[in-house]
Amino acid sequence: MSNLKNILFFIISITVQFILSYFTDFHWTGFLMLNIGLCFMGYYILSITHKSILYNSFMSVFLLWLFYAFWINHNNEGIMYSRIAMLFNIPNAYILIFVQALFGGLLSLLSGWVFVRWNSK
Amino acid sequence: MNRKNIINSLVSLLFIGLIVLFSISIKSLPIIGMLFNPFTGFTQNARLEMEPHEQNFDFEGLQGNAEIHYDTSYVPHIFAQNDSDLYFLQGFVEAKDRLWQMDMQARNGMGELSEIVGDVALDNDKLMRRLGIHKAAATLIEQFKKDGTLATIEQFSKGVNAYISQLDHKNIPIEYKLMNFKPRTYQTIYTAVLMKIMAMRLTAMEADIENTNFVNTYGKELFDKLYPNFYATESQSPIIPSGTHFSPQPKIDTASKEWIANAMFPKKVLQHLDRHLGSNNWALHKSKSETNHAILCNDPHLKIHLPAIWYEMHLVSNQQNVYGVTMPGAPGIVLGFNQNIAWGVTNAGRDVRNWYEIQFTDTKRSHYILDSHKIASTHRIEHIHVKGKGTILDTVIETQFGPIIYDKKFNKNPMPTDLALSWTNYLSSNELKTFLGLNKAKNHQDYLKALESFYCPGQNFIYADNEGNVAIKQQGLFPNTIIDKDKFVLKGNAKRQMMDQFIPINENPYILNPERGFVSSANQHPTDNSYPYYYSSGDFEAYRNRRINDVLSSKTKHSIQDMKNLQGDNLGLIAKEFLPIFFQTLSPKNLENPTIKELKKWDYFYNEESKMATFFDIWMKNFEEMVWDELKSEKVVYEFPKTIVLFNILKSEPQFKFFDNQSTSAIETANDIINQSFEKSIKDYEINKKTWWEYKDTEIPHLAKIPAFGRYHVPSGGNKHIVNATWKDWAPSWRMIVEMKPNRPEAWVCFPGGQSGSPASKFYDNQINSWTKVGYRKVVFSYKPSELSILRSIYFHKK
Repeated sequence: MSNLKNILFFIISITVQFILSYFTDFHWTGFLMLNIGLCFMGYYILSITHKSILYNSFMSVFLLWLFYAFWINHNNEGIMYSRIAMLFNIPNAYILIFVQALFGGLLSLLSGWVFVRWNSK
Repeated sequence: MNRKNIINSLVSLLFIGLIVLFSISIKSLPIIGMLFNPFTGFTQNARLEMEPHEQNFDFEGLQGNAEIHYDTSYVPHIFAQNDSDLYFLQGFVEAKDRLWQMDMQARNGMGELSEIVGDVALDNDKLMRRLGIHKAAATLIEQFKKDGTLATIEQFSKGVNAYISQLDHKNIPIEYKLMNFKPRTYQTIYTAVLMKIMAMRLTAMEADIENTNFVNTYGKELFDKLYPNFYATESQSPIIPSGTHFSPQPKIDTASKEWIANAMFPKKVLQHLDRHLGSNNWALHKSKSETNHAILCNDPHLKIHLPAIWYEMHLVSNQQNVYGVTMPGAPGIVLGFNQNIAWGVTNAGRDVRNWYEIQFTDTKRSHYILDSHKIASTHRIEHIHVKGKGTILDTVIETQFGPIIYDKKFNKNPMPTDLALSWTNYLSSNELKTFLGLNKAKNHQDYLKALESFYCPGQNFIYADNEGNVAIKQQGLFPNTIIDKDKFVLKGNAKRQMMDQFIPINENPYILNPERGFVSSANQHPTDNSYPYYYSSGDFEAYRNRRINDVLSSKTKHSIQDMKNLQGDNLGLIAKEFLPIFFQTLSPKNLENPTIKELKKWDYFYNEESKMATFFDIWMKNFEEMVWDELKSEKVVYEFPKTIVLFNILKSEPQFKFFDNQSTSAIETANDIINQSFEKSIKDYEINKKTWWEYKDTEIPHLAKIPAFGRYHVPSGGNKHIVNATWKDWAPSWRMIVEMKPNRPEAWVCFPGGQSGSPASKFYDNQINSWTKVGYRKVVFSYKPSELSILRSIYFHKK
């Protein structure tokens, strides 16, 4: 039961993150504010545990960014990613995609942690 | 506060701290958070390349429906019902593909770069403001108003702004994200600035400061020998063939020594902005063409960069059907063809700038002496916004001669005196009207009419039409000055010194269908010395013109392939002329050197894999440096005489005193220097024996020098003073060959770059490889969209 809830929470998170990021001209920090909102929803409506909230914060953003970047890079035949990788002295486009996803995932995890800290009794 | 709250606060603080850290821009570094978020940063620039094959836009500024179709080379073909919509869409599509480049060019000319990049650009901004590019542009706008060309630019600007207004933050060009600034509203003056900047680059050719230093050190007689007005007859092939009859020459005085400034000017002050710029153009009369149609060829040599200098496009309305290239930020087509005529340009390079040493009467420079009177100067304060430093003020002092550019307070390299600049770029003229006129020209009367308003920079406008005619006119407003007055820094103390007389426009060199069956120009002398007016340049070219004219004269008829071969011709005339003399004078020991044996087999072609081209280039450079060692001063700036002048002296006067090496007690002659320079060059060459392209190391850097966005170590043949003028960082920026078939002109083109300004696009630099091999792409000149193979379409509707 709790597994299903966690999966549902993950699907909602990643979908909402994607839709709002993709279709709006969001500020770059928008996904973090959104994650905190999702944490509230997960905790109070779906009764998600703190541990799962942390896990979800990281994974939803990490995987969304990873797959989105991978998809764009694939369609772009690696042109932009290889140039930016060169700019930051990163060996190749795939490592750049990973670094990018990790960057978003970790920040999102931190936003989830802030929620969990202030939310725990 | 308990322990838990402290940890909570620390975690929150860490979170907020990181957000702030990733949201700020330190120095000119990008905002990392924005850049790495794939929904706001560089990933979005890659996503933009996945745009749908059809897009629709509604705009209020339009009068009717219109379409833009990109062909498979990403060339936009604009089909509009009238010119007003046409220029609107041209602005839109130029912004779509080149917005950041347009913005940077405008900021450069307006002296507003420091606002975005900080004080690294402050010297440049000060120079631009002192040169008064923005003021000259404002004068140009006034002329646009009078001539009715303003409406064109207004429509163009509206189109640019229509694009900007629908642009999401996440979709702005990647350079804005990296350099952390935003697109701004496009103003009509930016187009005028672009034209004034282009004029600046093409007219900053004179060497007045260097010449003044020379004449004050070595005297006028030696100056005339080393910096002559005309080269030896066999060393030049003027644009208007020698022997062409001009009206009789009036007697012209020579400038008096008393008029020339006495000061010695230090090094590192005056940068010759783009001294080596040049171009080739030629056109074959139908009788000289295997196709029986006139053929026109043009390749302007400019400092190349990415995004590319040129943007290729096709404009169709009920008023015109014109194809070619424009500079991003300019409406119309600058170089190209329509169904009736083709045209192209090379730089005239004539001296249209005078420098004056102004004698101020007081330290505040409020007054100066002019014909023994005290004249008040005007002071204009320029406010330069510098990122991170606030506003910096620079006072620009205006005199009747022009603005003071160099003075004791100029940047990091103060001048000993106050130098004012007179320049035809400040005069009222309308160069845009010329291009817009050529775009619609039907015959050679229209062509001549269109040229009338073109004053600066002087250009050699070449022409061919669908009836087989060819013509060339050197057009511009050129000072009518007494001999040599324009070559030196002048004393700015008398009105007679002013640049206020000009050669009548209708006396400019012009020729239609000459007997030899072709017209051509390559920045050389426009005429022989029978032309009735005196003129000079800091940089008349002596080699490309002769090679072009030799090749064109060598056959009775030429094919398109011959034209392609000529644009890519790598023959080094300097090597061909110097080497026989060098071989004759080498010592027996040096003649035994294996490199000399190899060099003797060399065909003088600067092909990319040639090692002898590398060796000769090193040798020639060392030779010139050793000959002109007298002119290599640490303190004052001189200019080496032209290679062609050295050649003629070498032939006629091997004992000439400048051949002596100053650092030895012996008296060297040309023979000694040839041998010494050879021995030095062999050592330099043998370090790594590079092929010509490795040694030359051609590069196409990004406009903001972002290394990952440039192309380096580009394999290519050619050199300066060679028809294929591909050097290290300037090169043929656009090669065009047009066959003027009636109603269906055919054209072959290539350029070092691509159509898109986005480094995320495969069309950003996709033409470079073909360009380096002088490979061409055939152009589609169409009358309707159905004749094109379409990659992507944008439909515009009136709102």
